[in-house]
Amino acid sequence: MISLRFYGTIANDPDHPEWNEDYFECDDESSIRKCALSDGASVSFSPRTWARLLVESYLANGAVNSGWLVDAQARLDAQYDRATFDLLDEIGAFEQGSYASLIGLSVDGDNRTLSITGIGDSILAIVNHASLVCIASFPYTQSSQFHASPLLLPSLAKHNSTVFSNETAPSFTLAKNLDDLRDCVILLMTDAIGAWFMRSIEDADERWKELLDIESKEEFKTLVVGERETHRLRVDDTTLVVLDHAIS
Amino acid sequence: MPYEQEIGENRPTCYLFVIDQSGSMDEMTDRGVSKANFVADVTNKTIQQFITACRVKEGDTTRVKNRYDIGILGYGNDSIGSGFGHGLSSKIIWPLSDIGNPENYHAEERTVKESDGQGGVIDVPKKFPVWYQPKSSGNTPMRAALTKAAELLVEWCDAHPENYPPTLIHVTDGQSTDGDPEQVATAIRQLHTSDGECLFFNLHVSSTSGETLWFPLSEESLPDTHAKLLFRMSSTIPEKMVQYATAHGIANVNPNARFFAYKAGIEMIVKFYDIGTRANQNR
Repeated sequence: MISLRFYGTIANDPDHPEWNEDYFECDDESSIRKCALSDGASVSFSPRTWARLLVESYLANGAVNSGWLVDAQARLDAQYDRATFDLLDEIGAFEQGSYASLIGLSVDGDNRTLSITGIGDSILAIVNHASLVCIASFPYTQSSQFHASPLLLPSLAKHNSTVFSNETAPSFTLAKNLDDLRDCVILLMTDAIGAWFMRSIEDADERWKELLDIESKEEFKTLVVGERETHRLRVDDTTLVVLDHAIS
Repeated sequence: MPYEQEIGENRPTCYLFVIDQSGSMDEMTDRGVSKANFVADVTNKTIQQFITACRVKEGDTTRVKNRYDIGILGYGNDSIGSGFGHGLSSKIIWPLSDIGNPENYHAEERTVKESDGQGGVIDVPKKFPVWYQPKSSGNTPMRAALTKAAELLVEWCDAHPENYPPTLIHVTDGQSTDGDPEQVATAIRQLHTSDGECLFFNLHVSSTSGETLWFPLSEESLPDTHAKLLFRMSSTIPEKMVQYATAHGIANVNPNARFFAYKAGIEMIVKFYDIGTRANQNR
């Protein structure tokens, strides 16, 4: 059984949490079957709305493919009232568009499978809580991958082929046997904290282990603000989700 | 390392476009549009891109992230002044949220060619936001314009001592008619924040394409004293922009080269603006 141990998010500007463009949701905190985290890209017309719609779409249907994306795009279009748009709204919505990452997981208890979908630079990491070893991360496996421009889910259909070409689609999913994840903790992270986490593991500085002990939003805020001040953590909307996995 | 400061609403940077509006800017390019009109189009497109990169609409709420202050300073015909029109003409540098206010630009309708979906091309009316109107008359008071730019950038650096330093993009097709501007340009390049010295990029525009000299490494490669002067007035290209230049297909840019293009035709003008306004990933 997978349950939500901790969820915290700190906006780029902590004084303006309403400007946070990350979005997380799960179906049942005590027994998760599906959850997802999305990070609306800064250079987007409606980043938070797009992130929320992607997460809601994932919770409704975890089969992420081109048809799924088209449905999500239609839902975003339905949010807009074009009669109220000025010229810059038109350009923003229909030329610029919105972009977001997505990391989602689905639990299939019957088949003892954890299915992970990851598109972009929000990541999932699986940590053995007993040995304190990160045994897998997805879709990124190295901190250097955060330096490249991420592939993101677009709100404009004209960009869909950049994501769902035949060449790229299979790399978006990963399946894990739940029985192999005994004593594991699953972390979901948006890019700033994800890059920090990966770098900490690569540098063997042990800082990443602090994420496992965070129990309150205040503790998380203290860590984020402190690491931003040292420039180890990039200033960006920062979200951490910690999930416990108990073998049932 | 200079030019590393993150650009955000708490730490905006500044782009100041200093545009030659002298009479020679009305020369037609080989694409049938005057140099002044084409520079105006690229300037307006660049401002639009800054705004769309920073303008967010969530539900009924619209917000512009003020990551950039943008200025336009025009000079020509013995005068210098704000290149903005509408409600922005009283000042030269404005925060992005004011520039994005619908009262401060007008929509210009033009005809563009688009695919008809069946292998053909059709003319379609399309509206563009316009902040800067082209002008072209009289002489070239470059020295006075750069002196004014220096005053503005001193003020900006004093107000933003820790931010990514301002970038001045100077667009001209001719030679100064009010004295040697080199000393002023040197002073501008010495202005700084804690993140580095002001960046001074020079774009010399030409009515013909195909002769551009890009990012020269030394004066010796340049054909005349005017080109050599603009070279000396230009900053060294920042390291990150070497990557953007390479991405634009400009090969073998030396990291010690100056951010200067000589005799740029219209395609090169577009590239110059694009590379020169990429201080970070936000654009």
